[in-house]
Amino acid sequence: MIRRRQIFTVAEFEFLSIVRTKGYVFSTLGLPAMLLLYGLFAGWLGESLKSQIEGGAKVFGVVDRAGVVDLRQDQQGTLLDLPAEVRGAIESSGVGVEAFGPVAYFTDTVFRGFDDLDEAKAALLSEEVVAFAVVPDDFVAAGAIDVYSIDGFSLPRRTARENMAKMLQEQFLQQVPAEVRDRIRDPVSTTREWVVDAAGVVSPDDVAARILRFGVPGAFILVFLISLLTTTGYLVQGTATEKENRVVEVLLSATAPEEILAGKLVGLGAAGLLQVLVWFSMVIAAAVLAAGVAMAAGVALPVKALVVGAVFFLAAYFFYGAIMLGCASFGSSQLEVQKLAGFWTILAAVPMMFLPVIMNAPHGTVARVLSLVPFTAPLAVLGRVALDPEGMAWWDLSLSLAALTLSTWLALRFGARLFRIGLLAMGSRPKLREIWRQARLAK
Amino acid sequence: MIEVDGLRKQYGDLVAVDGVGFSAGEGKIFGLLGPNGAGKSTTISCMSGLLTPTDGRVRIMGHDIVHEPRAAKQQLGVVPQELALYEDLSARDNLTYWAAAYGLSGTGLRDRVDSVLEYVGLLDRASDPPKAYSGGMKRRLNFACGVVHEPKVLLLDEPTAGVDPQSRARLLDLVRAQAAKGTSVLYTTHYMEEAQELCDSLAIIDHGKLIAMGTLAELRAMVGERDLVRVVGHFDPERIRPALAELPDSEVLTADQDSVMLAVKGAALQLPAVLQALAAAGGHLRETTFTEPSLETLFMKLTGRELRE
Repeated sequence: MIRRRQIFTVAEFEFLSIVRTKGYVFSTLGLPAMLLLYGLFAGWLGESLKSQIEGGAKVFGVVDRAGVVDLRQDQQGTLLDLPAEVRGAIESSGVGVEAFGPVAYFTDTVFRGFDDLDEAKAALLSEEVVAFAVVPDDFVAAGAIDVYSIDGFSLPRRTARENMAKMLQEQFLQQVPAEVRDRIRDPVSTTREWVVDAAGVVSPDDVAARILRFGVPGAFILVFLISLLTTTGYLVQGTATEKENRVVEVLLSATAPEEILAGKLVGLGAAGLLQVLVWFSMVIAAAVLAAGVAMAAGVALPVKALVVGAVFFLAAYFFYGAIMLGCASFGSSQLEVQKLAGFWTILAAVPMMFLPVIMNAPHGTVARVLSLVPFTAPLAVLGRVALDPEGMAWWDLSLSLAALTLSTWLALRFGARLFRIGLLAMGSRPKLREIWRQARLAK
Repeated sequence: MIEVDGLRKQYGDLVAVDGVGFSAGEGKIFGLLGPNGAGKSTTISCMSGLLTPTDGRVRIMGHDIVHEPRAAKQQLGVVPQELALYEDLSARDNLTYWAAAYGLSGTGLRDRVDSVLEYVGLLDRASDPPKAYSGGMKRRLNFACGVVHEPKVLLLDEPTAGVDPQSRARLLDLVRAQAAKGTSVLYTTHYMEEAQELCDSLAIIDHGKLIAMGTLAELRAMVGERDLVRVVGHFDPERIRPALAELPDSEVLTADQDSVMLAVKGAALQLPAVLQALAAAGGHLRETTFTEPSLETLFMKLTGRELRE
């Protein structure tokens, strides 16, 4: 008979031991903070690169042998579509000309004409220009230009080349009727998308909403998987340490193996759940902060997925935890234990491979089959519910839960037997046949 | 009360413990003496329920460790050879966990933990983790973990391994104090001095079998009042055995090409005769030592090997 008091003692110890470690505190609070910092850094980097590109006009030389551009004076920007008086009025009002439609206007590049290659080269070497282009005689027919620059990577130089292409494009556009120019510049300026549901009702399809609808479940599944692996990782690591420092031998003189297993599962499971709660709280807090965007995109918080997620997380945790602990108990060192448990870690992540299939057809045959296989059920069901909360029938959900619960019960029983054999097998590791025999005989 | 009867543990063809039997009464210290790999730790593992014996019986305070494990383990304290401590937890937290695992709780647990910390002289360092301790302090904490629940039977598996003489003396005092409280103690060691100094009765184990058992006096009597003489040099064993056999009150324990060992009564007086006999048998002598009768002498007499080999 298993003593609840012993289980509680082990569970309390395991819980307090793990939540006090720096690693746990860091992964619980530090990981989201690190992701936030990463986001901020990526944003800053983007802005920095943008400012590098846009930071002041760069001079780009042009040797025009084809005579396609008029560069008797430096040219900055192109306002070819606007009459001179209108252009002047806009500029004097201080309002950006971009606000008036698809006018190819750029101020970050100044084009400067040179008579020949040597003159342009001297300007490049003296850093008067960041680069220069030679437009050959046959440019109109061949479309090729030669760009000269100092060796090395330079974003302003690349932008200048792109602007050169735009300038040439504008030169040629002057030769076509005005009403066609905008379509040539931007053939499809706006795409309006519509969704037709099974009842034939047509509704607007918002890209932001679609991204959020798939992104939130995706993030949800990822957090779930990381939580599951982290928590089972604590289990395996703790067992490895105790086997290595022989603490378990003394522990076994006071507590039955089954009580140790149950205590570890409960204690470290609680630590894992606490971590999951903190992470989800942060995700929800972030979602609330971004509520304006979410509401506009028509996305509600996946409440059903959260409830189902909590239930399946517990079942999955006990299922994988029992099996991994059972196997890990046969290792005699950290490395050996990690190896023995590693297979199950990979198996737990396998459903991620099927994620595109589940996203494409949340209630299709593949998704349904994966929901009934205990190793893949937690992630598959969670994905289905998160993607389409109302689409998964209760009977479907119940069937998956029943299959997983039954498997978890079997895993706990078998895992406990393996754990007992593994912990008591000091010295040489027993052979598979011997383990199987003892697992069947163990009471 | 410890009762071990016909204990046997076999791994495939390897017999680690073969028919071991002994007992230790209340307040008595029973020593199990033997070289590394003799079967001492396996015997303790069987007694603590960690290993299931292939055959035989272990009773702790009358409870069979296989059939009544819970009742037996409740009376049992184990101090393993390796340090079984959580290095990152404080000494107090380590003891609290073990005390709780053995069923203590509340004020009783806290009082007992403080009391044991004081008992092993670690109360002032109770908040420090073992990783900040010296080897001797860790050993004392390891000992404290085994006695925190006041067991009636204490199994000590080489508890002084690798500690300095001062810490060893302190640990031995702790063991004596534990026995004085009425605890039955099983003490395994390969340090003869410890066994002689500490144990009320003891057994010598080699290759899984008990080769001698009794009180210290009884075991010494098995050797007789004879000193151990060891001569190093170059010898012809075939010639020296008959030569030495003629000496009175002496017995050749081992003889090979490089050394000869004898048990000799009054070696100080007989030594010239011994050396003369060896020289007459063609031996070339380089070095001679002799020691007074001890368990080492007995172990050599019984096995032909030194205890630390």
